[in-house]
Amino acid sequence: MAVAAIYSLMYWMLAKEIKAHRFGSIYQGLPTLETLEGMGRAASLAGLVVLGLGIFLGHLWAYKILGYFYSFDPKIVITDIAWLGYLIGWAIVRLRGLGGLRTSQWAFWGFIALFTSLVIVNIFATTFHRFT
Amino acid sequence: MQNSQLVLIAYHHKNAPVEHRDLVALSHDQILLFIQLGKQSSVGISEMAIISTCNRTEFYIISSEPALVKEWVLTQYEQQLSVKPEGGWREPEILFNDQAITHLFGVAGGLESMMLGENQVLSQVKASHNLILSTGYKFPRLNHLFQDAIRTGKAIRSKTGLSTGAVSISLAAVDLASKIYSNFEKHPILLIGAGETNQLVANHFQERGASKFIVVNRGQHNRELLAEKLNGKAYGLDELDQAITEADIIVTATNAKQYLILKEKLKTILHRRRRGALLLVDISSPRNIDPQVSDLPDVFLYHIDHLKEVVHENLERRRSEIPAAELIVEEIKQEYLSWLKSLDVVPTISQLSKYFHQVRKQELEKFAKGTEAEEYERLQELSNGIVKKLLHYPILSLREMAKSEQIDPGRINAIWELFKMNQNES
Repeated sequence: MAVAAIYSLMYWMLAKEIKAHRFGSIYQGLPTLETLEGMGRAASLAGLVVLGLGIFLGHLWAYKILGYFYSFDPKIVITDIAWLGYLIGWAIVRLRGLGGLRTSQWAFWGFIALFTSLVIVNIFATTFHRFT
Repeated sequence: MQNSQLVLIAYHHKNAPVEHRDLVALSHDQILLFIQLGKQSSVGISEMAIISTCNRTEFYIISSEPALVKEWVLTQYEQQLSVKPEGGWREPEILFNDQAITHLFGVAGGLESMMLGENQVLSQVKASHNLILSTGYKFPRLNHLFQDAIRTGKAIRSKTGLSTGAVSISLAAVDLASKIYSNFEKHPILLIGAGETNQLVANHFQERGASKFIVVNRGQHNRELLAEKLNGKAYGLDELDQAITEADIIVTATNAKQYLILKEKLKTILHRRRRGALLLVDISSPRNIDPQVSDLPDVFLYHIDHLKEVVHENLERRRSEIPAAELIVEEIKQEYLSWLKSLDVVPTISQLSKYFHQVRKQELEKFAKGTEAEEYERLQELSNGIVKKLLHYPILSLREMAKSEQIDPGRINAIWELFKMNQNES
């Protein structure tokens, strides 16, 4: 997801430079918009699959250790919601054949939102899900 | 050979208008004819190579009568090809030795081209080189010279930025598109207008792999003609919205006096289109695309002034590479001159070797009678070995003298006199 966000940010920066007709180091140094979009999509898909698998295994592990499959722990709820959000977003993009700047912006802000919420939960909310 | 000089007789875009260049341009067969005539000429021509393109016809000639070469060339045009300009011959550029070498290396490197740093000229120099090789004549100096010219051309292109960046409007359009799309094959290109400009743009896109073209033009005949050439689709101006929906790249080059693509209209089309980036290139004057369309997300608009700016910047960048390219020319020219110098000692080496082996043979013949074949063979081997050892240091010394470019004519003459060798035999 982080990698996808980086590609999205690169897409965004390059698109801005092309629009402004600036041909500096960002323009010269980055690959084409199409390549960045393709890499971003591949990274998103990989992130979706790996994170999905991680969440699923986490729930299985919880069932084995705690005896229940799901807990309304803030960290778990946010992670599940974020993953679902990513899945819905990915499906919309895929089914409607969307692409371009908006999609890249969603991918970037989606990751920022996920990261920020997890940081906030870790700092302010009570959660059993800690690695100490 | 000692007094032979390299002479360049050249007509090119800097000293002759296109009419004159057309007149002196030579076909493959005419070049071969000139080379044959040169071998039989009375002006001491020993080697000849000709570069003939739309921008230049240049004769590289090695002759012992360099002052007569220009007249000879022009006479052959008149007598053999019946070419005689109406207002008389323009003065060609005439360069000798060093300057001619610099010129050829500059030609191969794109320094002398009308479009600074263009690539095509290097293939033309290669073709001229292949042509002299195909004649079967031995042209050692020009062969080496053209090999070095090709080496110079390649070095300039790989080590400097002299040939990078588009320097024409149509190529600049394709270059900009290639920063958005990696592969043009799957992206439809819409050409609004079926004139010469769009044909040129389409050709450049085709060279980069584009295969899907849509042509929109008011006139049915022209749009169908261009669409057929490009194996694409043809739409009338009333079907423009549909054509835009299908396209990823749009190039407009028409004489229309009003905007053909408006912001609000494009916004509606983009809603239907639902794909990523859309590149719009407006080469028309007055402009055909509302500049406000660039406010829309994923829409990248370039008009003629932007393209001119790109071309100007690229040209400036190319110009800034001239000193680096000239350094390469100078470096390889020095290598060539050094090689050329080494040729000065070749007759001495060959004559010296000939003399020593002659003495060896004469002395051996005295033992030919009364010696068994096997023993005679051993004597031959022995004498051969002695002669080779004796020649080793004199030859090495001569070669080093040539390499260090410090050939001392006094020492060379001393060798000839010491061994009573005849200069006319070399």
